[in-house]
Amino acid sequence: MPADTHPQPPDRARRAAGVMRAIARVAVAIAGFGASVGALAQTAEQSLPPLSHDRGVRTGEFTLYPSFAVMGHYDTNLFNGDDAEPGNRPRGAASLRLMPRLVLVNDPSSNITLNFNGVGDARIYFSGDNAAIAEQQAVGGNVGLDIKIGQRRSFSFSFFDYFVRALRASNWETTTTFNRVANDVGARVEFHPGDIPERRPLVISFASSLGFDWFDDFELGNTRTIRNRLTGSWKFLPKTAAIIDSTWDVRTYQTTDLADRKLSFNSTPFRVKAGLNGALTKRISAQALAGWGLSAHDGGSSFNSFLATVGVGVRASESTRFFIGYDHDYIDSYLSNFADVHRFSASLRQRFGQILDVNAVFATRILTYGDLTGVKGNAKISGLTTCGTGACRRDIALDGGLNATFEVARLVGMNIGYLLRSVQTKFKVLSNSGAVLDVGQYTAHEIYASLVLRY
Amino acid sequence: MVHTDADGLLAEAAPGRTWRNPIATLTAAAGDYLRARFGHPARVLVGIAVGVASLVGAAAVVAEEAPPKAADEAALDQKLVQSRAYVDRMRNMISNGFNELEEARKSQNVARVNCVSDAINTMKGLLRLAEGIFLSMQECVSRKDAACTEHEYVKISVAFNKCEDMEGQLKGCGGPSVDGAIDGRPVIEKTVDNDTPELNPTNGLNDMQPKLENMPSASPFLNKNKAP
Repeated sequence: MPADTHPQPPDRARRAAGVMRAIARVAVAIAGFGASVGALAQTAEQSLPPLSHDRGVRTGEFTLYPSFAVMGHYDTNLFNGDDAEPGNRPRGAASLRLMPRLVLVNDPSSNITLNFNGVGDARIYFSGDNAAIAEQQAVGGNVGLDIKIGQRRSFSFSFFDYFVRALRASNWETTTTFNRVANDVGARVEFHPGDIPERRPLVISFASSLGFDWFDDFELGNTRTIRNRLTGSWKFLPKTAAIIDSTWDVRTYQTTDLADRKLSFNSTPFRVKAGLNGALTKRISAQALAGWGLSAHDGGSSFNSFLATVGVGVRASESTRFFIGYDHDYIDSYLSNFADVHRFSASLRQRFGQILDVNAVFATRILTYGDLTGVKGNAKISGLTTCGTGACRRDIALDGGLNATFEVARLVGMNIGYLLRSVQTKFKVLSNSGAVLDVGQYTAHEIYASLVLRY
Repeated sequence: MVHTDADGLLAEAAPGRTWRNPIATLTAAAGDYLRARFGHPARVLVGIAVGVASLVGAAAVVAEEAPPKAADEAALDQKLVQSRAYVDRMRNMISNGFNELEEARKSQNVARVNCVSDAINTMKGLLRLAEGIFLSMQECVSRKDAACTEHEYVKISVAFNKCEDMEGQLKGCGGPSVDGAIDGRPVIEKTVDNDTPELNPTNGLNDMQPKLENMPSASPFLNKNKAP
């Protein structure tokens, strides 16, 4: 924190920190570096205190936090190509991204709280005469609204809506994209008997939402999902809690095309996990959760195995944080119903002189897909397909990132970063004549720099 | 063939080659060079001894001048910022106190005026004290002296707490029986130990945001419109 920064009251500072973390998460998601799996988002990872505090514009009960970021971005392999693919060699693409952001919150101690968060992402590609790159030019973003009523009472009720316009290039050099629109609208009921919100040890929550996920060009993958989540937490120490978390979804494809070709079926995935999360000492935090997951697809193979999350976070000093963790979960897949995911991750967060934060994150995922036996495709597949013989498709995905955030001035920040995304696999798609069309493996590097103006 | 060098270390050499200990070779070469450059070995040894003694002396002086305890700059800065916040808050309390005094004068309530004045005078004294301590604290921070900084920080905290007490007393002057009920909502301020980890163990339990799975890298196979 710069020397001339006036510290905010604790509540407001904490809220602003939460807002900034939320924005950071959204920005990272927009940048395409989302490597999380499963439904659980708790972590034992310890964060650094916020590098900066936004002033915000007070308008009566509400406070507005606006910002605007300009980012230069270069991707060495926009379409996830590989030299082994004759029609899809790695192709680099430079873009300029404009990202306005608006956060609106009211007094967090109020009985009715509102939290609005909107981030835009306009991408301008410098494509030259390449039509496929030119088609990536689009506007995306996220909008989230959460209104909570009665948080100071034993029962509270929330209404929420999350909208996402996600931009993603195809895995093939083509003018079609994997851009999509998703929205989840729902409600949550919480039971939290006892004291003021800051001193409540027990919280039981049930949330239900209705969502859709529609692609611009890949209509086969359009889905509707009813999502339910029942959670319970008991903070037996101020920073340590026992947790139980269960989710049950009903996911339905809008067309039966993928099911007819035995690629992916409707499902009712279920997960339950329980365990402990929080601080072991003032410097060490840990998480240990275990449970069971069932993907429950209408046809084909289904995931039916244990789930686990373990992690250790260390605050080595006032300016250094380490984290190492492991997850086992599954994700829904448009190819073979699901993928079983083992994820190993590590991170280092280091602050230098109250003006520079450096974050290094690395994750390795081992994805084992479901059985592809009997798939009716429009091409041949080579490599590992039949789980019955112990030869499922298996990918090893590497995701890494190095980001430096500078506090240039009180209301101006700068980000410079590098991202790695890579998949290593023997899986291949062949043409009917046996020529290689698409190999599953690829490696891409992204670099970016952004200037952020905020208030 | 196995050789034993002067230190008793064993090494194997290729048959048919004459093995030479590399350390002995280097030492001999260095000795030759020093003799050629500086003359008799005794003079070289005296020179090295003087040099080592100078380094030891310099290290001792530096160690004596170093602060007694290595200070974490981030923690010191944080304490400084917190102390500045305390002093600013004390100024605000006194400003609000003046408003109370003005209202008391308007209400022509002598007892209340005296009560508010007494409280403000005490708060002014505490503020002067805190400002002096804050200057001393800045000096401690500039020296990276953690013990001194902590000492001054505690003093400012005590002054701040006392000032808060006086503010409470000031607001109680006259009381509800004179000016009716207290207006406004209570303000809750949490004081969090700096050593407490920034971690919410239940964070993320309420997340219901859409989860968008990425497409596996086999897109021509999935898209029926792209049949090869």
